[in-house]
Amino acid sequence: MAHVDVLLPTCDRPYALTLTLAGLALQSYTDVRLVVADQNPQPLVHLPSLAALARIVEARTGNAVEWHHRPTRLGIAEQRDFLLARATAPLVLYLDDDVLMEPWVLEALVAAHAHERCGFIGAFPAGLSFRHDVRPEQQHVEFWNGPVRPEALEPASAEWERRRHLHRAANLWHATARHASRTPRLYKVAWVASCVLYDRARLLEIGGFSFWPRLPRYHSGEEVLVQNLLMRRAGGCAMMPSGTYHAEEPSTVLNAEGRVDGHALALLPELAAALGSESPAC
Amino acid sequence: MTNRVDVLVATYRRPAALAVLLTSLCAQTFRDFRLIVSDQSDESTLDADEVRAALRVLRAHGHPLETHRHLPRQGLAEHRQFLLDRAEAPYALFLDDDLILEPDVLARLVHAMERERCGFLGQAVIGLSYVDDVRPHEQAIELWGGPIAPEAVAPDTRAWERHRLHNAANVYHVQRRLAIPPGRYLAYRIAWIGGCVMYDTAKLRAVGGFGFWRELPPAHCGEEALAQLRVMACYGGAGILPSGVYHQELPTTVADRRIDAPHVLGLDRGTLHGSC
Repeated sequence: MAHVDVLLPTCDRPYALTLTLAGLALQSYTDVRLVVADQNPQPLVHLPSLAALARIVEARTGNAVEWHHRPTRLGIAEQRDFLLARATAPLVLYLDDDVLMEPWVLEALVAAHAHERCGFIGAFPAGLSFRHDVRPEQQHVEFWNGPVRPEALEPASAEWERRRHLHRAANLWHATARHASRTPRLYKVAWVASCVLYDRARLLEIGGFSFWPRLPRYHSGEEVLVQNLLMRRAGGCAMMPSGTYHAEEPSTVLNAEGRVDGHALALLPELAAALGSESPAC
Repeated sequence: MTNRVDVLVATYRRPAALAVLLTSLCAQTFRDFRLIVSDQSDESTLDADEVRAALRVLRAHGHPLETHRHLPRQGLAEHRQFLLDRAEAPYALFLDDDLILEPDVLARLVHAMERERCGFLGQAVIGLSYVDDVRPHEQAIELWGGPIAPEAVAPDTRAWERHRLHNAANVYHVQRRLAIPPGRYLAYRIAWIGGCVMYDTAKLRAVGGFGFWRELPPAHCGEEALAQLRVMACYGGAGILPSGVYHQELPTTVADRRIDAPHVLGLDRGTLHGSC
């Protein structure tokens, strides 16, 4: 059994996925098994570059790649739920299909988890097309000085807003340049998307993504919800430098009008109460 | 100020494959390189989203980048000469646009070039779809026990047969068996080596580079082999193990392979042309 199962949902982004798999194939940390949930009409694994990358992942990790072709689209939370049900490793990395990774990212995330034992650690991708768009007012960082602790964070609170601004444009990239350090530092988040290492047992404790049938087909915020729940029990954070970059392709979770019909955070008061932690007043 | 290495990539109609190659350049532990990409596609490969995404990361790493649209197409030898004309670094690494490199490939090539001081060194390209196709009859390998010396290899001689080691996944099987310790490399004798080759820029120029393109019709193959035969005859060249270079296994873009440069032009004129 691998120590990390990489769970990769993909839909309508064959070329960004190619970059993501290339970054994954070159990770220095190789105790990994890759599980892909492919929602393209035709399975992408037969595209030449993708097939070759899957073989490289297999050669370097020694584990067979699981490639599930499931064209019926029920939404991203259902995809994540499906992937989690296939995982067997102590740690799972949810990796979006539009993320470029430096080769040290997974090793650093696993090392940070071994030290902190918290619910999740993210590596948020910078949008490098904003490299020259410097926004000092959005670069506020709160580091964890000492162990990552549980925290109950209220959506839309001042703290929530401040934290989420860091994950826009290239703000994290610019903040990293200011707080540069050779070893990654952990900072406080409202949530973190795109490349997140979870403690699988902790994620299952709070129910994972099993709430998906209660969301409309087009939704967002499913990771925001599980991370908020996890933070209350086990704490969560993100890593700086993140070593990840966005491919900067359009979102694939939107409806025909370019919107979502619901946000998973609507379920937070109820789920938080059911888990026995303090319900946020939102 | 020039970089230690100029990475030279000729590309044609393979944006996704090129983007993968560029991603693997982002991951290199050796960072002192400039990248020059020359595109001969009808619609610019360099504007594809995935290529732009990878180029943004290379820029963020601080690598100087040069991109060119080089048309009309006059064959691969001419395209390589165009790239060589732009090189300023002591080492010129020619990469095919459909490879993926492990993060230590450039570091190992530069380290070996500095030690060996020969004309060129390459890492053979592994086709992992052949990982279960073990071919003991193609695994013969002649290691360079000492310094790499000039060597004249002519087409269709016994030494020419060395090229079979580079078929399929033979190199992968051989290097697993040899279990080379981390940080070490082994140099071996070759006929030629395709796809990922680092030249001593001055030595490649001294034998005329790819200037022989004027003597070939645009539809040709084997131009890399011919340049290497000429460099090897003057300065020596070798393959090194382990190879960390994989093929993305796309169909070739050189459809017409009837004109094979070494068979048409041979190496004699090259050695005469050279300074050795």
